Amino acid sequence: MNQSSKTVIEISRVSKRFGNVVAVDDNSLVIHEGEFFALLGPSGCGKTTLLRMLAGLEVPTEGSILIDGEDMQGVPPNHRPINMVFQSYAVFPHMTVFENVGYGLKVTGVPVPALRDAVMTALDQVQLGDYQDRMPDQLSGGQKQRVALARALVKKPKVLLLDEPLSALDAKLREAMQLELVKLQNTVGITFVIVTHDQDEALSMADRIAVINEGRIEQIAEPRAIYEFPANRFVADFIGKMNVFDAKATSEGDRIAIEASDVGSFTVSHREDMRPDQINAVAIRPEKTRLTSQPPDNSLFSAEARIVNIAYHGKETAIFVEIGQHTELACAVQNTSRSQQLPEIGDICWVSWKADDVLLLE
Amino acid sequence: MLGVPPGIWLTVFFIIPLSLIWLFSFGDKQGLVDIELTWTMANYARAMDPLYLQIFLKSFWFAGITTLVCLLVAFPIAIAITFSPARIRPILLLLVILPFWTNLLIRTYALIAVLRTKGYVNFGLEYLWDGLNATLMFFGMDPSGLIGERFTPAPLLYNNFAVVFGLVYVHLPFMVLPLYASLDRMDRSYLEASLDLGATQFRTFLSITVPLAMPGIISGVIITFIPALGSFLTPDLLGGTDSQMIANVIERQFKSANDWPFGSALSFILMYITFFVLAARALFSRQGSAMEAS
Repeated sequence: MNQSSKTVIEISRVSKRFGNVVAVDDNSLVIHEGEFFALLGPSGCGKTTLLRMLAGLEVPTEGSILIDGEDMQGVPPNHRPINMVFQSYAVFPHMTVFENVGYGLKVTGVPVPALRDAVMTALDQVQLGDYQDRMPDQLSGGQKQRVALARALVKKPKVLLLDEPLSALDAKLREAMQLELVKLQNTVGITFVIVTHDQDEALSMADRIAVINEGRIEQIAEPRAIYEFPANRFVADFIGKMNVFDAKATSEGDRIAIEASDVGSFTVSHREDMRPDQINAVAIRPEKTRLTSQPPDNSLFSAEARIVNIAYHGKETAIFVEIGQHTELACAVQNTSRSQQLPEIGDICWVSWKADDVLLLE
Repeated sequence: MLGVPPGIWLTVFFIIPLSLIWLFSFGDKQGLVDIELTWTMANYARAMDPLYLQIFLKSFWFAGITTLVCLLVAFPIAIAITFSPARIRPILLLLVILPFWTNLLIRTYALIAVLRTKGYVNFGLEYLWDGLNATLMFFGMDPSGLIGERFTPAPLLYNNFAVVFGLVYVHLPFMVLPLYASLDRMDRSYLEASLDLGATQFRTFLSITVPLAMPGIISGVIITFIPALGSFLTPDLLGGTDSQMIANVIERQFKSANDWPFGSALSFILMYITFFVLAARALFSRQGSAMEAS
């Protein structure tokens, strides 16, 4: 990564209201130079509005946005050191690939020889060097996206904004494009800010992620921290799969004792940012549980369970078990071998996990 | 009645009357009411007389100016409607088509009331003139040298200006609606992308909005130009002696001149021209789509 600690975007206390609807609610955020930053959230959470405010296509109702140290208030989109790849790509249908990529230079009066060089370099960067004379309707979705990328990169922006860039591509192409975008970002060294609702995309590509819900940033952290140490119930629930149980917690020396109805009791190490009386629930990810036919050793917490449902996914199998009368739990079993035996519905087994893999929630 | 197949409707109300007129155009006038079909080309030959060619030319000129003015006026209106809040957009569209709810004749007479010597425009101008006159007097200047001895009403009616003004007024909705339709369909992100890439609003309009609205522009031009070319009422009521259009000549052949064969020939020449315009448009759009498909 080309990250430095230099700030390139500073969003402070920005809100955006459309009539009575609050799309973005009092958010602050700092993005560093060279960073690959993801705004992640469910649809309608305000992430695109936030991106559009960076581009100057929406005006914040409150708060300020600094790009490269300059206040962007009143600066129109065409005067911002930022370019955007639109979700629909917005490749101009009446221009060739070359004219599309050259458009941003032509309108700012770049002389033709320099424009030609820059356009060809950008097209080579996205592997479309041979497509310069094609019309957009002769291109596939993936190729149009590369045109949109080249068209933005040729402007050498401080920050490149990408609005759901991969959502329209099929699964295989999407995976390839994820890797390519990261590679491209490393090559050009431009700060990328990507909006996505796809957590896989955010986790695999971004250096840091802001998880947004209902207009508010819930957590800003590196992908691993977002997944392993979600800050609250929304993030825990939104990212990956999570089993959540109601629980009571009490202090027990330097550890916290958890009492979860049906499941049982165990102790976990102390979390400094939370008092025991704030804890109302605990959570464990399916892949952090283990299923055995015999009770495991005492280093793990374990409970007896009955298998109620099995869903086969190829690389893994989701096994749903019932502990006690009311508590259902999803466990993920990796299908590491072809000859692996799977349990059957109705079997009694033991579900276990490391106490410290449990997440404490308010 | 409703169960009648459309083919029969077309035959009875369109093809038969039109065929009759077509046959008349090759006929010879015999006496007061009789027309003998002689397959003569004399009516068409007479239409090539410079007198009539000049009127055709004048009709083209009026229709062309009308179309151009409509385009220039309608584009900002269509843009304003497209970008207005969704709540008031239907109201604005309603205002555009509202004139259609009143008879053309009544609207034209209303225009006469606006434009005539003692009409609203001249009344307004006179009011301003009086005000200016009094102001100049107040400052001790002699207004007669500057703005004339007394107010002279602007000649706004019974001339070419009145005809074009009337035609623009009548045909403006025909231009606004197709332009609005094509602008409304346009993906806003094209405009945003253009701004984002550093283009000014004006540049975006020229390089993105206009080319992408081209289908709407062509439709608007055609459905404005064709009816404007065949206008009868507007030049008849608002025009002067030298602002006749071809439809006025046709009308005179059928009525006062009582020369149906010649009137029919003129009608069909106008119709052939219309067909030619439409055919050219079809060819143009076929080429456009062929280019896109290749």
